[in-house]
Amino acid sequence: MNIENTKAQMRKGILEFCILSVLKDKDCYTSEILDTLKEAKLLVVEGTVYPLLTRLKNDELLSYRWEESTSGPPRKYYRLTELGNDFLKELTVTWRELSEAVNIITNKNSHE
Amino acid sequence: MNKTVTINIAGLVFHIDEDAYNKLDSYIQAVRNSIQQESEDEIIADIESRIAELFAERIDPQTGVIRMNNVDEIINIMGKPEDYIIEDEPVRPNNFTATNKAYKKIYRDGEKRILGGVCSGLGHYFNIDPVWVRILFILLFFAYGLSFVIYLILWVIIPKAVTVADVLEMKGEPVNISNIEKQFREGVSNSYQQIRTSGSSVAKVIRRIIGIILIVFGVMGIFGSFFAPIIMNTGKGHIFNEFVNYDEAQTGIPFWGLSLSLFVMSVIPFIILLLLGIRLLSSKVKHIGWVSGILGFFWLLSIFIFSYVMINLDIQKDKIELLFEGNFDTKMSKTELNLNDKDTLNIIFQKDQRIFTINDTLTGKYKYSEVDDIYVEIFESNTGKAYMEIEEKVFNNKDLNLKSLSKYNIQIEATKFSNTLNYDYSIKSDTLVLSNAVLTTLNDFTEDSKVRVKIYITENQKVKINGNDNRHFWNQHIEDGKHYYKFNNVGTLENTNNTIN
Repeated sequence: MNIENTKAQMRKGILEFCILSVLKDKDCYTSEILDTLKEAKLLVVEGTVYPLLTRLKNDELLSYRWEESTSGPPRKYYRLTELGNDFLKELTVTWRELSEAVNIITNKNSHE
Repeated sequence: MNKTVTINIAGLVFHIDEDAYNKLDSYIQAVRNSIQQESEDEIIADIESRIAELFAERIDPQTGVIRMNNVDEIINIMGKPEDYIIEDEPVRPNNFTATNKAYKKIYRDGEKRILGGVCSGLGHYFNIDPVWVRILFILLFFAYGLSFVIYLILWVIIPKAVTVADVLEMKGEPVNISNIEKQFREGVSNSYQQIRTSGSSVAKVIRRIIGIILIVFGVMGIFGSFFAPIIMNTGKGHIFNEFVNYDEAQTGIPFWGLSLSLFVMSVIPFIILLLLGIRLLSSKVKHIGWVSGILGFFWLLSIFIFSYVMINLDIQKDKIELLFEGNFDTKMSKTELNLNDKDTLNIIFQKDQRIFTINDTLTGKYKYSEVDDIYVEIFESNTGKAYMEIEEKVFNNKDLNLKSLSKYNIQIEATKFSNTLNYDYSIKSDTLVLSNAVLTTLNDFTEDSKVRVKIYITENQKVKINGNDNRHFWNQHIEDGKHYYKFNNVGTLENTNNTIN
């Protein structure tokens, strides 16, 4: 079992949830999303995010608009759709349950 | 010194070192290969847009050039092509997701090429030494230049391996960043890559010239091809000879079908030349590969039909010849030559006068044979007197079953066979006039329809040969321009310096 691989798998699993969460309060362009995720150390390389963003957009959880930029190419600003909002709410509940479950199990094990 | 190329990413223009560009291009190719899904163009656009953004942040303000280390840094940030794979992403049908999986595609190998790299490309694909492929193509060239046309088609259809990713696919190695880097280290990539961005102007001019020549030949050939069936049609029903009509029932292919296949057979190579020419002039022409493939199919089909008909007719012809076999007699005639001791035997060759009155030779009712079918021999007479013998092959139609002839669609009346050969000659005192051709109605069936003229003369007989029809003389050596001879005691004609003694 490759530890790096397992880590990457765990991260990838929650990546969708985190992307939606980043967009919860404000619209962001791609690099902003990337920076937030990297700051949180959730992301090592950027590669995975691009196909994921496109998939979320194709599934109509996200929509985007173009905005001009002074320093570089035009930016793709993503925003959460109605559907995306509902999706995120449901994921948040699931995440709370999951993290609670994981906490209970890991804490229980560390006490023994 | 380092060559710099200008590129446009997401609408921004950058100057980039060539080696850095090559690596970036391979990287994007590799990423594209590992994404492999419906919206890959959109994703690649997003990635390129990000790369442009990162470049804009990192560009060296002094030189304004993107260097290799910038590209390396960006690949570090963006991740390996494998990182782009989303595990549960539905795979586009018929494609491989994982970049670690090797799959082979057929490419022309521009580096190990002799002409267009077709053979070396095939060698890569089938994992054999290209030398064997080349030998096969050379051998097939002797089959009516078959391999030449096949080569041209493949040249057009098969894409050239341009990028390092192409080269890896050609060799059947997985397209991932480590393999691409390996190719770079081995220096293999140097000969690829540049082709996409630039081409020398001399090469362009040569391409254009060759392209124009091919187009001209192609167009001329296409027009010429319309005449092929017309030429065949002038002798409609007489493909082999005057006696066999084309019989649809024998081959199962209508005459128009035969004409069409002849036309297709001759026109398609020219269409392909034309397409190749157009392709050389403009690389933007698309779908040439498909079109050539379809054309190639029809070409092979037409060759098949035509060969089938020809073989069928040949078998038919053999059968007919068999019918005629054994239906020939040899007709002999002996004529005295009244020569005095002082006389010179005058031998003159002339065209059979009847030939000029025959105006329907094309319809095949009559034909005259080759001049070479007349054999003249001169021997010593053992009777002390000069004489001449003529041997003719004569058709004997009493055994020939006319029903079996009509089975092969031979439309000729039996009476016309009776005069198979009719050799024309005349003797006026010392002058012998021989015809240099023979009239026959059966020329095509009797390849040995020969006339033998045997002249027997005594020793010291003087002979004058008129004209230059020396080739008729079978057992005597007659020199060009020498007309006067004397028959010696060993049975040969001896030249007498063109004077009469």
